[in-house]
Order: sequence, then C-alpha cells, then structure tokens
Amino acid sequence: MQAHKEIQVALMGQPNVGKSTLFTRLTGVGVLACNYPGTTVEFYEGTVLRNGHKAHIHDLPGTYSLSGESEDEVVALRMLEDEHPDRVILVADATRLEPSLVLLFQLIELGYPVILALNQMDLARRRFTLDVEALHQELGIPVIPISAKHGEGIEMLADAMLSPELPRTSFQVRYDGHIEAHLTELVAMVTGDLPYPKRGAAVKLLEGNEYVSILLPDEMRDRALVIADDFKITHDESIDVHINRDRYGEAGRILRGVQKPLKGGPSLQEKVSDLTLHPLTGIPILIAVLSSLFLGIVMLGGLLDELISGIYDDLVGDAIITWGATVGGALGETVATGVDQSIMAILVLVIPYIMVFYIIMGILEDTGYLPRAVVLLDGVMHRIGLHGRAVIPMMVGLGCTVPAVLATRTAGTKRERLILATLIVMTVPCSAQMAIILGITGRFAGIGYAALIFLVLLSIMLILGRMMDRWLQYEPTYLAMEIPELSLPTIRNVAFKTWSRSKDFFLIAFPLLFVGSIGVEVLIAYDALNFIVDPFTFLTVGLLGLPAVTIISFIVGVIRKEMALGMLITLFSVGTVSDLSSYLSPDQFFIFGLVMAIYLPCLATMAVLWKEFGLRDTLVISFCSISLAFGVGALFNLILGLNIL
Amino acid sequence: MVTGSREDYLICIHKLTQGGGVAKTNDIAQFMKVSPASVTEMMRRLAEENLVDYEKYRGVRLTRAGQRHAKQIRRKHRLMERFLVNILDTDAETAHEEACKLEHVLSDSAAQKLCRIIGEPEECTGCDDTCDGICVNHSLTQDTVASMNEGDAAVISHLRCENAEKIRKLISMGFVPGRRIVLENDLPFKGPLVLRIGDSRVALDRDYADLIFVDRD
Repeated sequence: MQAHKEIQVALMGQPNVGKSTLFTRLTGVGVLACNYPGTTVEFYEGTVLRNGHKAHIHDLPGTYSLSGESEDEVVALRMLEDEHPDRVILVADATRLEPSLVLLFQLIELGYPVILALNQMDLARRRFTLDVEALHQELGIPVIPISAKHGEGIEMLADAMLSPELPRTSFQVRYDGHIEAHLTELVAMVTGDLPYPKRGAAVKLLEGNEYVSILLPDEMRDRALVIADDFKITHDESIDVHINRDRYGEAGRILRGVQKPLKGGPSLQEKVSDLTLHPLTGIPILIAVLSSLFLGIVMLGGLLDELISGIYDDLVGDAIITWGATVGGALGETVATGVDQSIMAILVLVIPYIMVFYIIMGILEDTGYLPRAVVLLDGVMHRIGLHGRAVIPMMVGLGCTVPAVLATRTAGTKRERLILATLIVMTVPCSAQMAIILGITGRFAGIGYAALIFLVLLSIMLILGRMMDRWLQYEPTYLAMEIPELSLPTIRNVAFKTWSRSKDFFLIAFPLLFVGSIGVEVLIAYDALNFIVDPFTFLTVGLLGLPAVTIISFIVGVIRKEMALGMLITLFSVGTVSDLSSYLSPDQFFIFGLVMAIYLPCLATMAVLWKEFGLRDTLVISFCSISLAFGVGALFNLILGLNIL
Repeated sequence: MVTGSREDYLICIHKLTQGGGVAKTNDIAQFMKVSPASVTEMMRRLAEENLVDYEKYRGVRLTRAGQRHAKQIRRKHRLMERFLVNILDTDAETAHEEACKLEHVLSDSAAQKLCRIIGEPEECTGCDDTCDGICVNHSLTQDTVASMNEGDAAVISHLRCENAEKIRKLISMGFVPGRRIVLENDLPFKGPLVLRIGDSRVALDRDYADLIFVDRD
C-alpha cells in the first residue's frame, strides 16, 4: 500500500496569514531554506514523520492570487506545476476569510486536492461564530480550524494531511450565465492531455493566465481572445474582472451562510491597531518604535558587550594563551592567541549586537507593526527617491547587509532597488559595524563620538538619496499592501527566528575569523606584516592619521566586518579589549569607526550585489563606498586636526 | 443650455480622447459626418462655454466640465437603453437608436427616478469611462477612491482599465466591483490611503486609488 510513500505537501496562502508559523509548528526545527532556480525568492522545506507516514512540506511564498502577478507568485505557481503536490494546505486567516476563499476556489478549479486550514481561529471566535461543519459541507474539502501561534488543531491538520485519501470535491464557482456558456464552449475544444481539469484550464484561459493557456491548442487561445474582446464590448467590463467579481460574490454568499457576527465593540487590539495608523498618533508611535530599536541595540548591546567580555576575562583570561605556550612553545602561543581573539570577537559581537537586533526585529515582525511603518513613511521616503517599503530592508540592514540587499526585492523597480541597496551598503551600519562604532569608538572615545558617526551616516544617506533620485531615470512603482492586524508575539517564534538568523555568524564567521586571526598572529610573529602594511602608509597614516597597521583591519574587513574588530585587537597584541585605549587617541577611534561604517561592503555583500544587480553596478557601488569612506575619513581628520591646533 | 447636436460633439470628443491626447478636427468631422469647417465653428462655441480646450491646428480636448457633461449623457444613454430593453421589452438595436435621442432630453431628476425603477442593471456597471456605472444605489454620480474623504464608505463600481498589470494587482488585492470599502486614513505628505475592504485593511497609493471607481453609500 502507500503507507510508507512520502507525501508531497505544498503550504500555500496569502501573505500575513501565519503560514510560516504553521510551517515551523508542523516541521519543528528541521528546516531547509531553498532558492528556487533562477530567482532569489526563498522558500522552506521540511519533513513531518507521524505514525509511519512521512510528508515532505514545501512552504511556498505568500500569494494573493494564482495569476503570477509578482515574482513570489510566479515561484509559487511554478512549484505547484513542477512538484504536483499530493496535497495543498491552504492557510487562511479566519478573521478575514473572503480573499482566501477566492484563492481556494482557484486551487479547487485547477484540481488540486486542498485542505483548508483556518488559522487564527482563537481571534476569529471573539468576533463571530463560524460554522466549520457547514463550511466543510459547502466546499466538500477538509476544513480544519487551527491556531498556529498557540498550537491548536495542529494534530488534526497533520492527520488530515497524512490521510491516504482526500475526498474529491464537486464544488465549483457559478459564474455569470454568459461566462458559463463560454466555458462550456471552450471545454469542448480541449484536445489531448492536460494536467488540469478542463473547466479550470478554460477559466484560467479566459482570465488571460499565460502559465495555463500555453498548454492549450492555438484555436482555443484565439477563440478566448475573441470572447474576451466581445465580452468587454457587451458588458463594458473586462472578463477577468468579471470572473473575479463572481468569485467574490460566491465567497460572500458562502460566508453569509456560515458566519454570524458577535455583538460588541472593537477589541483593545483593534483600538491600538487604529492608533498606529492614524497620523496624529501613528507618527509619534513610529518614532518611538524606531528609536527603541536603535537605542535597544545601542544600550543593550553596549551593556551586554561589557558584561560578556568582563565575564570572559575573569573566567578564561589568559588561560588559553598560557596553555598554548606551554603545549606548543612560541608557535603554540601564537595560535592560541588567535583562538582567544576569535572567541572574544564573536562573544562581544554576536551575542550583544546581532542577537539583540534579531530579537527586537523578530518581536517587531511578529506584532505586525512593520507594515505600519512602511505605510506611515511612504510619503516622506518619496523625497529621497524611495518608497515606504524601503523601511524594512533598511531596518534589516541594521542586522546584516546580505539579507537587507535581498529584501530590497520588495522595493519594486530596479532603479529603486539600486538606490536602496547603495544607501544600505554605504550608510546603514550592519551589526558588525555597529559593534565597531559602539564597542570601539563609543567605548574608548566616548558615546558622543559614536553619536557623531551616526549623524554623519544619516546626513550622507539623505544627501546621497536625493542625488541618486535626481540622476537615475524615474520609473514609478506604487504601493499596494495589506496591513495585517496587530498581535502579541510568542517567545517560541521569536527565539526560533533569532537562532535561525544568527547561527550563520557562529557557523561561518567564527571559522573564518579563527583562521584569519591565527594567520595574522603568525605574520606578526615572523615580522612579515610590514610587507602588507608599508605600501598603504600614505592612506592610513597620511590620509586618515591612523597607525599604519590598521590597514590589516581594513583589508580583513572586506572578508567579514566582524573580523576587523578582532583584528584590531590582535594587531595591537593586547590581551584584553580594554587595553586598546592606550594605542589610539579618541579622534583616531572616531576616524576608524567612521571609515569602517561607510567602508567597502564585505565579500558576502558583494556576492549578493553581483547576483542581484550584476558586476558593473557592484563594482561601482564598491568603488564609491571605498572612496567615500576614505574621503569622509580624510575630511574629518583634517577638521579634527585643525581643532586641536 | 447644451443642445442635442452639441452634446453629440462632446461624446464624440470624449470617445476620441479616451486614451489621453487630443482629438483632431478632421477626425471629429469624419466621425460626425460633417465638414471640418462646421467642426471648427462648433469647437469655438463649445470653448466659449468652457466645455472644451480648443487650440487651432493642434486639436481639442474636454475640460473637466465637458468631461462631466459627456459622462452624464453616456449614463443617461445607458439608462434609457436598459429601461427600453428591460422594462419595455424593446429590441437592442431600436433601444440604442431611441436612447440616442432621449439621452439629450432626459432631466437629471427623471434619470434618478428611473434608476429606482430599473434597479441596478448589472451589465452596465462597466469598466471604462464610456460607461460609468449608471445608477448603482440610486445615484448617478461617479467618484474614484482618490476623491473620498476619511470615514467615507462606498461600493466599488468598476475599475478603469488602462493598464492590465495594475488592474491584475488590484484584483488580486481584492479590489473587485461590488465590494464595499471604507477610507480609514488619508496619510500626510502624499502618503498612501488606508482602506478597509471586507475584513482586511490595505494601504493603497493614490495612483492606484485613481483607478477605482466607487458609488457612495
């Protein structure tokens, strides 16, 4: 029998219905991020094992419709087509069922075996009664009320997903009489095998869907064009608009039958939700949220940084180095110092800055606040050639530039994406740069100097944004975005996200830093460093007024920014970070932090820029950022030098 | 008072300039089956009444008042057609010919009342300027979402189909004729409009909002 066959399951749904939360509930932590070939739209895969049955779950990108309207939707459509999943779980937000039902109708029309998962049932129950059984009768498919957030109904959903047979539904949307007549005509014209039911293919053909119509014979396609033209003349409405009007009509009719509103005014959640969008209250709230994100990283990060490095010093101190020297003599000491430095750098960087950032970001995401920031800032962002949507990549950029550049995909046109990516690369400090600004400049030169760096970055962003807005040719894109309800985040989900986003820093950055630190230690030990350092003296000493050896920090900073921090410590061969202050003056710390903050993107960022924008733009951005960094650094060196005199 | 023949000119210009741009005198002459000279004469008069912008040798376009007038006549035309077909059981061709004459003499208030009799003729809540929904909710007026004020509620009557891609986006976001929307917030600095549609909330740029025609409650 089929007992041990792996079932392929596609998880579908509109954006913001809680699909990813359900996915992590179903699969646990066994998640694999995949890139669909030819795109960078990410989706996740995971496996569920239960009572000897195995299901492979594909978490498809959020899709509003099956028309292939955005890149996410194209990926979802291609996945559906290529994988021919045995089951499709349509995740719907029970508090706003209508649009999800419209998507469901289309899946049923195309013959996919669908299970409807009604998410957020806990919330929905407070607003209306929903007759799940009646909905099931009406649709003829399994309907399972769940709450992904609280784990309600997950077992039932897993059972339904793994059940060997799904009932075939006879449900179909009743379209306008004229459209039905055209469908009958078109269905009769179908020849040969089709991966879809004939009626479903005919509907998609009339809607002008290229992915389905390409499979149909030419005369059918020609006929559909004639029908669409006639329809527009006789009905004064294009046929795809009318088809969707009928779908919403059907969805509304079904919902009126199964859903009865409860009495009672808006909940506290809804009231707060309204406040976040009303300009008078929304803008102060926005300013509070953005500054708490920023200050959270600055204060919590700085605090944890000192705390952790203090604990590390007390507990480990020079033990590793001493042990290295005992075991391996001079070389052993060198290697051990490298090891010690890399552990230290990771400790003072990853936990305080990166993890704090991802925790705050995770909370913001899960509350559903981010789209509100987008909406409120949209008007203002237009002035620097961007849209409100740019806010999210910029906030992500405070963590790591790589996902931020990927997140620019939501920004619309290439022009907008290029402006946004450039601004992020040059002026939004990633958490490693943040650690340098706060952990080096802020700590040794004073928080005023660190604040000045942020001010300089902000000014550059505004000036650069306006300049690029002027130069680059204008192609407008328009905002059309759903705003989800506010909700309370769960610790489980935030913790999961924080781990899956920051683990790369342990797994990739740590080994790199490890090798790099040992390498530099060896070079120092054999006095080989001068070969690299001397040729750049004009830059470091001449232009920036920094010690010549800092060039090593700048060079390794290209590989990973967090290494620059570790290297600085290694270079001055100091045992603990707190000793650094004897090597550089406050002004020098300021210049170092400033240059590092603007400086060349790291290798990972360059790679992702190349992939997204091509080699030419990557080289231009890299060249510009390096010139800007040293230019601004030199300028401030000059100004500070004058002041001292 | 705009007479029948002048109204026909308005409708003709309206048709010729639908995709934007101007209507040429020769095109109008051909369309109306008259000489270019009489077109020029009529344009001068319509311009005096501020119904058209007319520049010699360049062409003609409707002013806002002219557009309003032309649309109103189109609506009356569709209304009469529906009345003749649905209620009087006239055949479509005769109904069209009759409507062509009646559209000029039907008063606004009579049109409103006629609306109530024939209800909401579904096949007329159309998709571009030539046929704005004629009498959804017993009203002849036609606005876009962009013209709504905070707190206003309305029903989508149709979408302006000038750009298939934008229309697909709107449809996929749930902006489909017949659905009810409420304008919740009109954000400052030319920010987007926050709309409640069904149980969802959507932020929509003004350029999108211009494409959605509504009937006020």
